[in-house]
Amino acid sequence: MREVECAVAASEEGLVGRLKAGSFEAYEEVVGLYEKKIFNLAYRMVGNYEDANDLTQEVFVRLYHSIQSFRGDARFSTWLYRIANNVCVDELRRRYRRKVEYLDEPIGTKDGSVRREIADWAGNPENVLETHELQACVQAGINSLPEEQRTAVILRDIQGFSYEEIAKILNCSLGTVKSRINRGRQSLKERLAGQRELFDTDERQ
Amino acid sequence: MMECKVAQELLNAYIDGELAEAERDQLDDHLRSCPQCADELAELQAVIALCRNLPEVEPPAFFREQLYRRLTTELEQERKSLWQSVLTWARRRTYRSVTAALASVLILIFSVNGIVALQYNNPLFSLAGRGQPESEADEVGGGAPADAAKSGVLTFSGEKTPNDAAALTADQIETDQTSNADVDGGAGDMSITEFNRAPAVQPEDAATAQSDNLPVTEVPPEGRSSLGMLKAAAPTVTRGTRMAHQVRLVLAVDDLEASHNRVREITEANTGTVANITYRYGEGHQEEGRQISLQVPETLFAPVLMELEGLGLVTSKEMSEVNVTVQAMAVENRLSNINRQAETLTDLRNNSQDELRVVQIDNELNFIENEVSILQITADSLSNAQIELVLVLNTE
Repeated sequence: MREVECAVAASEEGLVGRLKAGSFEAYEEVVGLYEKKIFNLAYRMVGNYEDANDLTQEVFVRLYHSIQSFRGDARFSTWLYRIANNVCVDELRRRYRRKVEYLDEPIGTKDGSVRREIADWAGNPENVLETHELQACVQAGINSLPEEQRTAVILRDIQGFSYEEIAKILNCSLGTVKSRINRGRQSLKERLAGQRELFDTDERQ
Repeated sequence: MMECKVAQELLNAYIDGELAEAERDQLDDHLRSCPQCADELAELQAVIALCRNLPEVEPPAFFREQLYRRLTTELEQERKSLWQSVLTWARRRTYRSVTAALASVLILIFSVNGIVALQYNNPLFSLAGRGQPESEADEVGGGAPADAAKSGVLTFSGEKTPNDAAALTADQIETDQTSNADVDGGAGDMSITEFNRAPAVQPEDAATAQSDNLPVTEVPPEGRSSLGMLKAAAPTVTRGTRMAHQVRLVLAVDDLEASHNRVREITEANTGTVANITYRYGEGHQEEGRQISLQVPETLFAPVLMELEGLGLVTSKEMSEVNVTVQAMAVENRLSNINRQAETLTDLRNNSQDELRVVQIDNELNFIENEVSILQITADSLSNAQIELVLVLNTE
C-alpha cells in the first residue's frame, strides 16, 4: 500500500502536467488509480451503492473541470480526496435538508447487475448472512455519525490515511482531526455496544 | 501518574501511532496499572477492527463507460448553451437593426465555439498519442496482469482481481449452458458473457444520447468483439476541406403554428433534428415569434435551406461556414487507428489459450467500442449544419 503510494507520488507531477495539457490517457490513468478508492470512500459516506456511483462520477467530472485550478500546493491525491469529500458532504447536506432516510435501504435496488457486483462480499462463505448483518450494523453506525466525524473515521479506519494526510484533505488542523476521530470512534463504539453479540462474533474470528 | 481522563483522550492517537514517544511511554505505564483504561483500549480496537474489516466494494463494470459518456454529453451541452446564450442576447435586439451587430456576434460565436470545440475534442484526440497497436500487442502478448496495469490501455483489465475473473468464468459457464453457445467459437463465447454482465446502463444511456439528438452506435451482443461492427461504425476517410454551415434566418410568416409544423416536417424528412424551440411573446401575451434551432446533415443543407426560405418572406439571413477539417480529420484518424488496434487485439484474442488474457482483451475491446461510439457522436455533430430559424408574424 505504502509502496504503491510512493510510486504514485513520484509519477504524480508528470501525470498532473499531462492532465492539464488535456491528455485523455492521463485522465484514464487517474480514473484507473483512484476509481475504486473514491468509490469506496463515497460508498462508506452515504452507505448506498447507487449514490456512491453517482457521487464518484461527479468527483471525476469535477476533476476534469477543475484540474486547471490545481496549483500543486498539496499532493494531487490529497486534492482529489478533497474534491471527493466535498462532493459527498454536499450530498449529505442536501439529503439532510430533504430529510431523506437512506440508512436501512437495501443496496443496489433497481439494477440487477449492480446487485451482482456487490454480492461478492469478502468473508467466510458459511457465515455470509451473519457477516453481512454485522457489516450492515457497522455501516449504519458510521452513517449515524455527524458528517465531520464520519469523514475522519472513514479516512482513518477504512482508507488508512495518517492524521496529517487527513488534516490536509479536510483542510483543518491536526488537533481537529484528533478530536473528530476521538469523538467519532467513541460514538461508534457506543452505538455498536448494543450489538454486543455481533461484536463477539467478530472477535472470535 | 497519568489520570484516566487524560489517558482516555490519548487512546485513539496511541492506537494510530500518532503519539510522541514520551506520551506513549506514560500511557503504557498507565495502561499496565489501570484495567478500566485497558478495557477501553480493547473496545476501541475492536471498533476499529470492525471498520477495517468492512469489505472493499467494486465499482460497477460500466463505471467508466458511464463517466466518459457523461463528460462527452456535458461538454456538448456546454457548447450548445453558449451558442444559445449568445443568440438570446442577439434576439433581444430588434430584428431590423441587428445586421451589423450580428456580424460581430457571429464572429464571437465562432471563436468561442472553436475554443470550446478544441477543448472538447482535445482529450479524445490526444488518445491518438498512445502506443502503436504493435507495441501494445507486445505488451499484451508478454505481459502478466501486473504489466498490463502499466500500459494505459490495459489499466482496465489489469485491475481486475482474480475474484472477478473467477466470477466471470462462473457466469460464462452459466451462459454457455443456457444459450447453447457455439462450441467451436471457443474464446468467442466469452465476449457474449461479458456483454451480459453489464448491460443495464446501455438502454438508459442510449436514451440520454438520443434525447440530445446525437446518434449512438448500437452494438448487438454478437458484435461485441467482432471487428466488423467496429468497422461499420467508422466513416470512410475523406480528403479535402470540411465546412459546417451555420445560418440564422428570419422569416415573416402568416401562421406561426402552421409554419412551425412545416419546419418540423422538412427537418424530419431530411434526417435532421430540432434541438430547441423558444417562444417569444409581446405585450398582452400575444405570440410574436418562435425561434427554432435545428441541425441537418451538412450534405442536405442547401435543399433544406431553400425549402425553409419558401415558407415565408426572408427578412434577414446571416450565413457563415466554419472550417471543421482539422477536427473531422482528427476524429477519422483516431477511428482508423483504433480500428487497427482492435484488429490486432482480435487476432491476439483468437490465438490466446489463456482465459484470463481473453477476458482482459475483451475488456479492452469493450472499451474501444465505447470510444468508437463517442467518436461517432463527435463525427456526427461535426458533419451537421446548424440552422437558427426565427419565425415572426407577418404584420404587413
